[in-house]
Amino acid sequence: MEKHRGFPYYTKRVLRASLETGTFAHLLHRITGLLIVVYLFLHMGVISLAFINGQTFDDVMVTFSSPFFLVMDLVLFAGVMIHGLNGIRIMLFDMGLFTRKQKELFWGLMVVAIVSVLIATWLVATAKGWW
Amino acid sequence: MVVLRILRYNPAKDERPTFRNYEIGPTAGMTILDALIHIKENMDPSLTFRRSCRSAICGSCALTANGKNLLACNTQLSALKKKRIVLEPLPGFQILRDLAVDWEPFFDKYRAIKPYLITKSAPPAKERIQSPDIRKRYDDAAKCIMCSACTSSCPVMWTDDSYLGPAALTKVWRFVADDRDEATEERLSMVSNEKGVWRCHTIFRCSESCPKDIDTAGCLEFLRKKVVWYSLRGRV
Amino acid sequence: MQQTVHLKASRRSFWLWFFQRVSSVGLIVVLLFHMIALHYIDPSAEIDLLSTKIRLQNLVFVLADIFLLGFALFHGLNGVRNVVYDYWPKPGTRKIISSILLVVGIAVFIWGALVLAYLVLLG
Repeated sequence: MEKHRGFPYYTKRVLRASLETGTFAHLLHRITGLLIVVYLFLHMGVISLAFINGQTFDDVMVTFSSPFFLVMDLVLFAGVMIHGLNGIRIMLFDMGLFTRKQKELFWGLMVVAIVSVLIATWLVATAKGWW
Repeated sequence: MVVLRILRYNPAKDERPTFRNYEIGPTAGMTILDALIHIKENMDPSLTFRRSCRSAICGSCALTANGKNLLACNTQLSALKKKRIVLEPLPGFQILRDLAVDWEPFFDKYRAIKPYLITKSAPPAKERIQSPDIRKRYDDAAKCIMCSACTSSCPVMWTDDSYLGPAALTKVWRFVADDRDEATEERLSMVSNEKGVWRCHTIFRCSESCPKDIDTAGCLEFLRKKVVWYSLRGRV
Repeated sequence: MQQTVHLKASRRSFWLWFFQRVSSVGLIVVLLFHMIALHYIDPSAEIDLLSTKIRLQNLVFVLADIFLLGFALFHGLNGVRNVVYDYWPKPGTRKIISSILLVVGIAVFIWGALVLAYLVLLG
């Protein structure tokens, strides 16, 4: 009997459907969410250094102000904005609103996300004197 | 000429499903179902598919065409705008043969949510009256023809066969929104669990695939909102 | 073959879904505060242990941090639970992973609260 359920079956089909706006939004929400959870634990691990050794904490903080980590911060900010704005979209649906306008709502919010990331990049670059 | 690439599978003979191509010259206004009938009559009598009414009301001919769930009878070949059309049975169901799938689990869930009007009060002298405004509340949900295109399109169904799915949940909303029905709390209790409304991630594949243009995800959200209010007041 | 599907209300499923929404609203507020206060007002400021300790002498920051910790842990780990429920339909596996996530959540919350208390009290 041919399999009609399970993780490999799901993966194959969900990737094929991932160009549809709703599925794309769902997968993006899921991936950004999981990445932010990973970041949360790393973030807490770093703060915990203060508990163990204050000097190490300061050293690590200096490392984090390097351009590489600042770019990573912007990536994190982009992830948070995408997850947060799409989260607002989901809660509007939960209130029974815009369910027939889900695609327009998604792309509209993604424009907001992109603009906010550009503004954040500009702010960081100005503060650090990158230009 | 259009190439129909159809997934063929006979569990009694084949080890796994394989695609077979059929090249046909479509006539004006030819639907997918017309093409399937044409192939069965003229090219390959072993091709198996379900059909009955040919007018988008029985829901038997639902299948996947180029990755989208739809009814074969109300989709013209030209509407797909492709020279190569891939036809597959609905995902998430056991394939019985070729394009026919085992719908029993789908109807098990449908039966479980009690898809009929439940009344407890004594029947009135004449019929139970309903205002047009209240009828409008479930106009959308009442259009369902149970073709299973939505339930089959839902990614949650592809890993978890205990989920009731959008079709059954839309039917629950149809009766919850009906003021003649007197089992609202019982209905909301049935769907307030991991088989019901809390598993929906609003992916919108259900609404997208509905051949009757029901806002399935919207119906589910209205139902969920109702469960939230009843749960907060401790009634579910 | 026909099979009977049994359906029973689960209060826990409801509360988990509901608090996922509540915590998300909370996170929007607290996270906005967190990012504006730490990174937006003065983006060039270097964060070190001393400045953190001084900042945490203000009760508003302590409360914001403890709520951020609680909301983020609940929202994140319950999100992981939702993913697990999608991909592991077996009730046994679901229960085990849910319990692990619960224990991890409580442990990390206590750990985070201890770190915060250390920074506030011994600063």
